[in-house]
Amino acid sequence: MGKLAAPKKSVLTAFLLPGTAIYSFVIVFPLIFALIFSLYKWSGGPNKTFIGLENYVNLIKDDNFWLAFKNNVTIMILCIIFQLGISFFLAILLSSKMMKIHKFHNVSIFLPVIVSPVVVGILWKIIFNRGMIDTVMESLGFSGLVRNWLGDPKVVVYSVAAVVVWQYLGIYLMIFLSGMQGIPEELYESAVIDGASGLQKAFKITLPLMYDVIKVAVMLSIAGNMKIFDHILVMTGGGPGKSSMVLAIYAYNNSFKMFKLGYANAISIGMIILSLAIILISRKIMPSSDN
Amino acid sequence: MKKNIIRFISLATAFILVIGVTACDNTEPTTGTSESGSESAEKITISFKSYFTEGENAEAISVAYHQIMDEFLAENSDVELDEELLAHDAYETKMMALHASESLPDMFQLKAQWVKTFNDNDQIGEMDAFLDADTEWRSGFVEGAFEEFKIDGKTYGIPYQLATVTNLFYNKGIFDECGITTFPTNLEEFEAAIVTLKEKGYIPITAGNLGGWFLDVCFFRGILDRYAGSEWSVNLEKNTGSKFTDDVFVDALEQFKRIADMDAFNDDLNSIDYMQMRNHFYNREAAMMFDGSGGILPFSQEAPAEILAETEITVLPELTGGKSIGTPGTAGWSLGYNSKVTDKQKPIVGEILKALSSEKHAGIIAANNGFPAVNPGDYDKSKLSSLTIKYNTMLETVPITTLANLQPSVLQVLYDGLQEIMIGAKTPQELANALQTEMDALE
Repeated sequence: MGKLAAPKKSVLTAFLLPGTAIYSFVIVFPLIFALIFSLYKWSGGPNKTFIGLENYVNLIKDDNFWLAFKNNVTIMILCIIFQLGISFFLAILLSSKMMKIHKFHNVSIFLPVIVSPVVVGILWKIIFNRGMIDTVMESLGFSGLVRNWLGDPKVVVYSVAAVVVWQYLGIYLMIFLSGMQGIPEELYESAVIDGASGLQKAFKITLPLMYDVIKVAVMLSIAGNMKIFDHILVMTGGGPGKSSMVLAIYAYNNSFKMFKLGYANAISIGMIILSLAIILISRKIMPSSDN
Repeated sequence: MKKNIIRFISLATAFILVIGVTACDNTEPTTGTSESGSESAEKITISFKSYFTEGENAEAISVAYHQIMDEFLAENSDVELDEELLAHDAYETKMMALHASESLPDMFQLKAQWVKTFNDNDQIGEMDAFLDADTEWRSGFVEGAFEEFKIDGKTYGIPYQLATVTNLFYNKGIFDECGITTFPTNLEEFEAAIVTLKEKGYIPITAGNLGGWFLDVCFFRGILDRYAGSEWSVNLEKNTGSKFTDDVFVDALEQFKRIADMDAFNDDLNSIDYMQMRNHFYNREAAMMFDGSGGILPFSQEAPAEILAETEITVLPELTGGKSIGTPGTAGWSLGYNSKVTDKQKPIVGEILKALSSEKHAGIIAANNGFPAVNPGDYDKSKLSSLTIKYNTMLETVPITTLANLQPSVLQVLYDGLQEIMIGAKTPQELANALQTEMDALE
């Protein structure tokens, strides 16, 4: 078979141009505008006052911004631990030969992913508020743990995180399952011959060979949780008080409820910077498998 | 040749995509001087956005709007209405976005808290020329109806309703059952009643604060009225002497905290809205409920007959030695228009404004259990619910007091702060300080 000729620059440009145009329109230009608007005192409309970096100075001193960031990080850590942990465990179970009716399990776990976060929020609000969880806990003998799941400031972030963990388990399950399919079967067969247990296979074969897949899943989880919005808006609105306030809700409140659009843009830029910083840190903690 | 074709196709594709995406916005009705200002087939188009949604349980203001607008359009065949109706919260969000992008429609519902910002950005037109040209129309409005929509003596909104916001609905049957045969006459008795109701297993007060505003508007403002009175509220709004750090305001917050600390509210207070809260009352789980007068109609339509029969309506009991025995009232919303409407559109805007605040319009609102900002004259009372009749009777002895119209950023601090007081994250004094700081920052 003859070697394929490298495409010419003009052809490459031609193919890249439409995608680049769309990407620029929906991502790059709004970002540039957000950056510009964040330098103004702006309540919407044509009147803007240039104030330089004053919004950013205020942002750094704003306790509510850091509280919202803390809530984002809490939800993110819980999701990385539980979402990825549970879905990895489920992926191992579902890829084992002992498990029956694989498709049913896959579909059941993936189903919540395709449901709108607003619907999920409403559904879980009913579950939390109408005592379903409390009834189950009481019947299991954990009546001491029963509480106001969305009204208690000490637990509300965990309640919200639990819903997010539940809804997006399916995505990570699919990622892990497809990753596991790429692991040669011979490795497991050799391990069985050598007398390896199921746990040993999981930790000595599956986990190391899935390293890059897990890394991608962690990145996705960080990106997804830094912009979490809909679930919280529907379930708590960021309350009680600011107990479940996250950065996106804080930016929304500043722009759409307080007319502080310049400051809201500064919050959004702050969000992007913090998200990038977390992703960079996670890349340092989890270096490429080549290294 | 081939290279040129590829280049041409790719550039054309990119161009079409970019134009296509940017053109999406043109599907929106645009403002004054552009599309909606143009005439097509001798018709003048007026774009109008509102939350006057239609439906079986439509509010009285929506019923009146559609009836009057249909009549207006039938009589004015040269006018075309480009109308968009949205749900209340969606309407507010959309208007914020349109305001930011300088693309307000020609006419719209204007919230009192928006007036300053919209006017600062020269986005809303003055009403004075219309009002001055027809003094009979102007004199039909109830006293003080325009106050919230005035800046520096100029009027920017035509009110169409007058709502009282802290009405207390209570289930007399539950009160009797708990041995409270007469409704509390002061706040001490009110607190004692909360304790009794709670002991008997009832939710003393059902509230829905998911939107954040409910606890302030429908409950705290009632307490503030008792402690501070109208004059203090007017001075706060106009920044002419009253401050959030004044003792009366901090005392009102302390009173709020005392009631909240008694676990007087439903557990799901912050995760349900003002419509969902009514379910606790309908299910006879809650003994009391605060709501605006706008809630009387949906309550009358939705409540089970036995609950409706047991329900009485009153106001928060008085504070011994307090400043007020009334119920705070507000027009809250008005009709506004885009300052950029064309000269051809402006007279039509004036006619529509007049029609939507006429005596006839007010009569339809009143007949449908609503409360107009214009004297309705004689109107059909056959459809009034028992609760509306009780409410109208109550207003014969209870004065309507001033609800301070605060700027959105101050309001948000108050909304969040009341919740923070409830969970112990802030003290009343800390909230008062935070509010004054926000107020000072506006200057």
